[in-house]
Amino acid sequence: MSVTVKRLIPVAIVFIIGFYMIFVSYIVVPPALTDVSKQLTSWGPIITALSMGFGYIILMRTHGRRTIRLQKGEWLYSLTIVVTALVYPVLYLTVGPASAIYKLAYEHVNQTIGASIYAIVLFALTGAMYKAFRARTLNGFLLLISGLIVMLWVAPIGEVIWAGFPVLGAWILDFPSKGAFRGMVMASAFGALAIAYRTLIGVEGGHVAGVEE
Amino acid sequence: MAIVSEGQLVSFIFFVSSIIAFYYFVDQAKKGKKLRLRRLPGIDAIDEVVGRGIEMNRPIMFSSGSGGTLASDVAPQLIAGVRFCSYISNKCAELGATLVVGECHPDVLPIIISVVEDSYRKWGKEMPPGTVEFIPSGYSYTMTYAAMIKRLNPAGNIMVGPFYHPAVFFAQSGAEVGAIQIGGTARSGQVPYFAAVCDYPLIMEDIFAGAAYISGIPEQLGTIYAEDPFKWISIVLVVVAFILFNLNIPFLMDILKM
Repeated sequence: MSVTVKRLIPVAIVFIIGFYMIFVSYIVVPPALTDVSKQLTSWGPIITALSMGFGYIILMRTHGRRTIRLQKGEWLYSLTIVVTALVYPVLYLTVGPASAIYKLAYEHVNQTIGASIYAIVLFALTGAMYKAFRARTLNGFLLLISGLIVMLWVAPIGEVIWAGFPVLGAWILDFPSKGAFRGMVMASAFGALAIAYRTLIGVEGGHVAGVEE
Repeated sequence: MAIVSEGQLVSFIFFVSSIIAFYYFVDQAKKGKKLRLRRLPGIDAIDEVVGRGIEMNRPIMFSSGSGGTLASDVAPQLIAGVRFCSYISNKCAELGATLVVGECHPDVLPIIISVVEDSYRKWGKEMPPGTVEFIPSGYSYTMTYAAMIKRLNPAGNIMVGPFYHPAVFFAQSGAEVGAIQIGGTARSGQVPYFAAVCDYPLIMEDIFAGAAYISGIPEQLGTIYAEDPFKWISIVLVVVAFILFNLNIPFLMDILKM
């Protein structure tokens, strides 16, 4: 494909649509123009749905190939994915989402697995906490102390040990912690604005696939 | 009749002035003004991670996050993730390291595939099958990517994008297999996990700055420079607002609400 098709046209579309949307959000315009912006916004989910179809094809192709080739250490997982990815749409289209069999497959299987996985995150959190709480530096020491105070505030035993833990814990969370996070969020907003600007004017080439500056 | 929508005046002025600042600094960069940026260890470590992968004959894994779409507020993070992926795939293709990308965003997937394919094509190679894996988002992504880390035993695990609860899961899995980990997100709730577990955390804005930093293109670096005046203005506004608020003077608040 030529550079015009791969770069200039996408960048021109992003530039025109992007600045139009910004213009409409700031400037008082006739309702017809606002309607156009709403229409454009509604294209987002359509594009996402289309790309989900693309993702489905990629998924089936990758895992179908692994299943057929009986790829070592992979094929059983791939087979599970292929079967699941076929069963759910078939059930949805044939018996419908309100049917008992679909509910059994979705709510009693998918959601249960989801809840179990979410519960496992606890162990990862514990490991991360252990790493964070190694007081090898002054920062690590401060984190350890503040983390312990906040934990003792949340844990019922904390108040029994010392009545000041809830007060101190809430103070740490409401003031130093919140203040630091807000500072990070503000700086991040400028970063996002910079990347948006680069994208709009076509300097940021990451999203324009196939063209390296 | 008002031209600017109600309650948007200050935001609009801020936006227009930021566009002017971006234009000015990009123009300065184009004219050849030397722009110096502080080193970002997390970005510099990417080459080290790729080199380690080649030495150990182990793959490099990449994830661009675990939630949101290009039509949502996390779009800038996804674009930053694509930029990182582009750089990493280019390095892997050049040096011959094995890359595995676990992508869960269906709308980002075609871009990622194209970016990785072109990186390989640039070095006269074909993208190996299985380089980009689509894993539907949600719990399936959490478990599949974490399991891939365990099975593939990567030399490096690079995660840049909008991360939700899988952040800590991926980082812990990577730490267990001894991978060098670079983790960055602008989702404030997940930053502590990356900071605690990853060897090189990229905190919030670092991923946006990093996207420009790795490109090395002066025009992109110019936009990072343009952010600084606004950060200073914000600091001054915060301090002044703090003082005025405590003195019960609503002047600044009223202006900012215009």
